[in-house]
Amino acid sequence: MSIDSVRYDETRHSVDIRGQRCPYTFIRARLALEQIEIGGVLDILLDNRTALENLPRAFMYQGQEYIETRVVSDSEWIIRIRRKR
Amino acid sequence: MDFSDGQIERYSRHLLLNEIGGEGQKRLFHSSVLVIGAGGLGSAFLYYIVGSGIGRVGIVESDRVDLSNLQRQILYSTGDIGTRKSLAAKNRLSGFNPDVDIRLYDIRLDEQTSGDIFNDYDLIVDCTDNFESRFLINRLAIRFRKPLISGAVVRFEGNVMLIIPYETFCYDCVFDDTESVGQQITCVNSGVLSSAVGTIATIMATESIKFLLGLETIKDHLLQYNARSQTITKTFIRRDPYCKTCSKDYL
Repeated sequence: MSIDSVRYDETRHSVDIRGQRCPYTFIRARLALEQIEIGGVLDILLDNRTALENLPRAFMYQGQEYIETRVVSDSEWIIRIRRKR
Repeated sequence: MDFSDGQIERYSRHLLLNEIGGEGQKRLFHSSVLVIGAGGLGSAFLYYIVGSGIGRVGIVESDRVDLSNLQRQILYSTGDIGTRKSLAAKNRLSGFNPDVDIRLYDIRLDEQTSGDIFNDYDLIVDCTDNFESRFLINRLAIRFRKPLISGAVVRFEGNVMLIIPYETFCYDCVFDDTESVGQQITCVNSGVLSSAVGTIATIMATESIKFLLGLETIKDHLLQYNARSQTITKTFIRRDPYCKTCSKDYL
């Protein structure tokens, strides 16, 4: 399933970090979030289980809003983050 | 600018920091620092500044490498003895981080030559080893309204200050030039602990990076380090309203 097929209407931004390992999962997602306006929402497509657990916590620690995680398949997920600062 | 894959990996430990991230790292790429003196302080300072990805780094240095330098001047190797420090420094640092534009000024600074050079940089860093140069660099930084980080080490002690012209105290507000130059280091009292030089240099590098990022700095304070007792003290200092260097616009 592609990232577009599970995208919400309000979402305008996405980043594919599949194949990345820690800490580059977070770094690449963070760089993508920095590209969007405050209040904007980023969909992060990933296939790394460690990142699946760590990313929401890391973004919340940074002061961003973790919205939700959606299951794309057995090994792929989308984490949705709203840029707050 | 977009980060290349190599840059994401090289600067990953900065990119992870809340205080830096991608925006801060870009800010460092677009910053410039002029380092005066590539001796003991300059050696350690330059490694961290160049490693951090400051976009442009100027080095003012006209000496050659001497065997007695190698106890603390970690930029140089035994094979560099007799070569120009500026060239040896550039070779070493360009290999360390090819992203950085390193420019050499193989000159001794004076009142005439410094204006064009100072105006090309965001921050001036004094890594020289004598009072005369420090007073001169302070005067030039005030004249050209350039922020200055000044550091010094002798024996087991050192200090660091961040001078923002017409905003904070300047070197002349703290030290008396006639008295200090009179107490010039001579061959019998020029001993210095190698690692204490590194400590002061890394504090200077930390303050430089924070200043360029707009983070909290030691501004308005004199930081003093004692390597014997391993203590750091910060003393708040006001501008001297009668300072002969920075008081003319003082309100």
